[in-house]
Amino acid sequence: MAEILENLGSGFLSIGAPLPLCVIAIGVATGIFVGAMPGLSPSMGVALLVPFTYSMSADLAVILLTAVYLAADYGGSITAVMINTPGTPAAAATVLDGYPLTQLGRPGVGLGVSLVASSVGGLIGTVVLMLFSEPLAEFASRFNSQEYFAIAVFGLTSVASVGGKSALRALAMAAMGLLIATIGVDQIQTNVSRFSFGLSALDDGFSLIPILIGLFAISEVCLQIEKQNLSVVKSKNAASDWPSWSEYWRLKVTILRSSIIGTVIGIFPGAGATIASFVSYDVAKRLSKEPEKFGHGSEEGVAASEAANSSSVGGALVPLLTLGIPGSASTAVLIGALMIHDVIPGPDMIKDQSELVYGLFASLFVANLFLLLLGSFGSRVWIRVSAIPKPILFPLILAAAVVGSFAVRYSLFDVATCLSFGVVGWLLRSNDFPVVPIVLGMVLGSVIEDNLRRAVNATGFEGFLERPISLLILGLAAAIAVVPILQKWRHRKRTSNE
Amino acid sequence: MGRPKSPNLFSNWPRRLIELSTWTLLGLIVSLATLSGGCQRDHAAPTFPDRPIEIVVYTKPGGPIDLTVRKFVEVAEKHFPDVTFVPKTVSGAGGIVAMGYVLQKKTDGYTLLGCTKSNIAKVVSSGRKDVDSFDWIGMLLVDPECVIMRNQSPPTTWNDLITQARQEPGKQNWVGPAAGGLDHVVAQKIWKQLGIECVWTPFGSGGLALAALRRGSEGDAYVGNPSEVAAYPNLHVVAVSSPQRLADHPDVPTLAELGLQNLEDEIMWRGFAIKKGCPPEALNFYDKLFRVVTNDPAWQQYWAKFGIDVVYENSATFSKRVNNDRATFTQFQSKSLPTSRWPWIATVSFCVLMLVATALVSAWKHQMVAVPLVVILASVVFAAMTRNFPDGGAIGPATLPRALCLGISMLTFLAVATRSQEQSIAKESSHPILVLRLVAVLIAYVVGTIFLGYLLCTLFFLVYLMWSLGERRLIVIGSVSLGWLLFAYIIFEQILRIRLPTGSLWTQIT
Repeated sequence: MAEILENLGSGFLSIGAPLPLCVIAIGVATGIFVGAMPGLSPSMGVALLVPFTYSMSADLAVILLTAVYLAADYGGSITAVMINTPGTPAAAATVLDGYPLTQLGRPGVGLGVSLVASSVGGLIGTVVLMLFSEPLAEFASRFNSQEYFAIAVFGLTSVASVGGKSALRALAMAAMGLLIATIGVDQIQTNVSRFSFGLSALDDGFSLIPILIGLFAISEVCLQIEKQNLSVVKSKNAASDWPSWSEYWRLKVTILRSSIIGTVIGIFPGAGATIASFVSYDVAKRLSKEPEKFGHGSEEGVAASEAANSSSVGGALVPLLTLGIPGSASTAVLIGALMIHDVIPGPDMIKDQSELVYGLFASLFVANLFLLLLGSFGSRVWIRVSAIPKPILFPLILAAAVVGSFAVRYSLFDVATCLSFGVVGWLLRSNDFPVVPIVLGMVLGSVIEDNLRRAVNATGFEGFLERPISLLILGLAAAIAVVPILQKWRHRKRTSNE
Repeated sequence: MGRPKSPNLFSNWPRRLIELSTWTLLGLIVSLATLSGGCQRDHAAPTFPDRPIEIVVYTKPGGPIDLTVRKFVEVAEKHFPDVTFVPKTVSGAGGIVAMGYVLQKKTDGYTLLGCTKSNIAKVVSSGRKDVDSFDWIGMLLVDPECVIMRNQSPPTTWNDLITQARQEPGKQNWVGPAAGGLDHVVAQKIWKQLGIECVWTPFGSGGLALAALRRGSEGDAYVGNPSEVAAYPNLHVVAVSSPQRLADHPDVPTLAELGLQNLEDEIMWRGFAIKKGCPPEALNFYDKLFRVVTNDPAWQQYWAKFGIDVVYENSATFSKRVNNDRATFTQFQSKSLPTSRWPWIATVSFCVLMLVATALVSAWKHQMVAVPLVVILASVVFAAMTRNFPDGGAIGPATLPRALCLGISMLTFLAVATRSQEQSIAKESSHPILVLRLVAVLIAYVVGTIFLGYLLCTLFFLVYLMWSLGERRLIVIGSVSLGWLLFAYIIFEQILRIRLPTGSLWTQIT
């Protein structure tokens, strides 16, 4: 412990100069912008900045890129709250309560809670990363395909919380998302092209981001235009409508719990921020004293989702720094950037490159504080979006949707995908079919199928029986799915008897 | 300043268009003026290259070819300071998407594909003919294939590995990236010569496969490149495919020393390809560029650290190598797997049954259920499309899609069947026709973008839509539209270097 604190002190000293602090500030500001721009994902933001780091030292390069990664995860919540468009896939769960808060005329509450939850979540993730990275990495490295499959199935149980009124419809939509995720070439075994209709653009399946923009942003514009709802919902006093200290304090347990969930899930390569935010949202709803508020503008919902996806950044850095394995798309870029600077991530990195690693830890603390500062300033600008007349806002959202979906792969096919899913989203939402489970299904689809097939191909179905952790997680998932149904059934029986 | 008027979406459009012509004309002039600068430069420059060269990267950022291209650009720009190289990530389907992207470009020599031997494996395994559409203009790096094992938990040596494989046929797991790739083919060649039967367990990336090998319970051997063990003290190389032992691994025998023949040239190469038919001056430039980069000490030192050899094979030699690789991959392509019919028939029948049942229930309840019917119809279509998916073991490529089709159709039917009539009554007055008109405008916008480009078409789109939604302040419409165009141009085109669609009409004119 003393060694860690000593190293951390050296880390703070190494970044406590004007240049590193400027680099962190630039990284945070860029990250917030990238996250808030639908179409630009955190990994794209990090990749776009890699060429700018060529002339920097390895320490500065990694500080800059990590700051972008951290801030982009928060940035995704801004558009989720303001215009029902998650800037990143991880912010899809934030939409569920963030946008209803804006519709209720309380955008400042949504933005404020998401900012504070993100910063605190990021700090907790950093502390966990610093103190427990080695034992956690050791624990995660014991997980096989069976456990990854079990985690993804567990993530799927959150469909009950994000699905809205009808569980059957929510499940059908989650299955639809899982089915969409199977589109493309089967990489596991046969190389057969599934459901690609002969289009090479579909060989790798649909990109998630154009679908996300379509299902949320375009469908929302369509719904508002359908209802001819072009009036501006004004908060009583938008400029001062921020959560009070007591409101933030009330969320402390939710933020702490979600941060731990986010960090732990972030550790598992491939699981990532999106699953973390959905699982945290689900847990927060189940444990909340006001579960009925979820989906209608619950501060707890926003806090749970945002704390989890920001803390998952710390988690995703665990396998990178201890095993040299990328825990997410963004950390894959970070590994590439480190190798450009002659740093090879692996088990000995913390020992051999302690100056760089503890400089990174220190920079994460500072970056989270800068995030709070810059985010607070930026939120006061963003909140004005709610005052823009819809005849101006809607065309801009549509133009941004087109350029955002194009930017993902420089493909007009993705633009067509975005518009098509926009229409599909409008039809589904106007018929009470929730669209969030589709996103959940798409995110979990490949994790579920690939790991299940890999596990069964390697050890057969009996392999699951030999893995107690996977059985435990699957049992927990089954209990979470079945217990509410049994409770409902009992309640109905009791009511009918009375 | 007037307030937005009540929406009268998309009516009296000819009159509006006339009123707005001033703004659109202004926008057109601005766009023409902006673009004309670039055109003048195009015509003035006499030699290749006279504009930025795009290098397409087929892996996600951080992948091997991404690293290669970024380092290449750094060294190339040092020697050719007047030339701009722009790496562009077009990932997906193991390089198929990137290859398709390059083939859509003109044969002007300004779009290079950063490629590896895996691209050839992917093209062959997916049954495509794209290899012939490229000129393979330069191979720059080679990395021998090798077999990697753990240091401690058995099997730990080559002999242990082979003994175990012979004792338990079909049980030993070899891990690596996607099925059908170079590493998988090398593994198959080794198994064939040794007469052993093993299972190939693919992972999403080499790093994840190495992690599985370290864990021990999912893999006994990994096929990859020697540089991949650099960061892992508990892994070691047990055999390499090079003609001689490697300087970095002097104790590791070659596959030839272990008695395996014709495996000394199993290398992972990295190089560049270009769409066939590019002008000779472009090919000459690249030949010169590749020679200069290959001879650069910084380039050589950088790759030496990873144990990767810097070489240069020109177009003629490299093309021969690519054709040989294609022939080898074709030989080892997965055999056609059996396809069972009855699960397919059962799935489709069940989904059709659910479709009919939903239609009957909705008719009985007098409910309007077009969307649920479309959802079930989609599951019928998807189920029908699994007809030719091979079985592929206990859980094949058709298993999950069929299960999901069953689930979607059944859940949707149940959702309709259990819904009360009160719930299905429309809650709010709605005007779906307005949305359909908006969709028509959006389609026109996207189609227009293909011909006129993003900037010009977006100008028309923004002006028209704002006006249609009731905004009447021309100064607001104009400033918002032009402001957005300026923002998109500066952020995407200039800072992020994301080239927005320029439009085929405009390209033809210039």
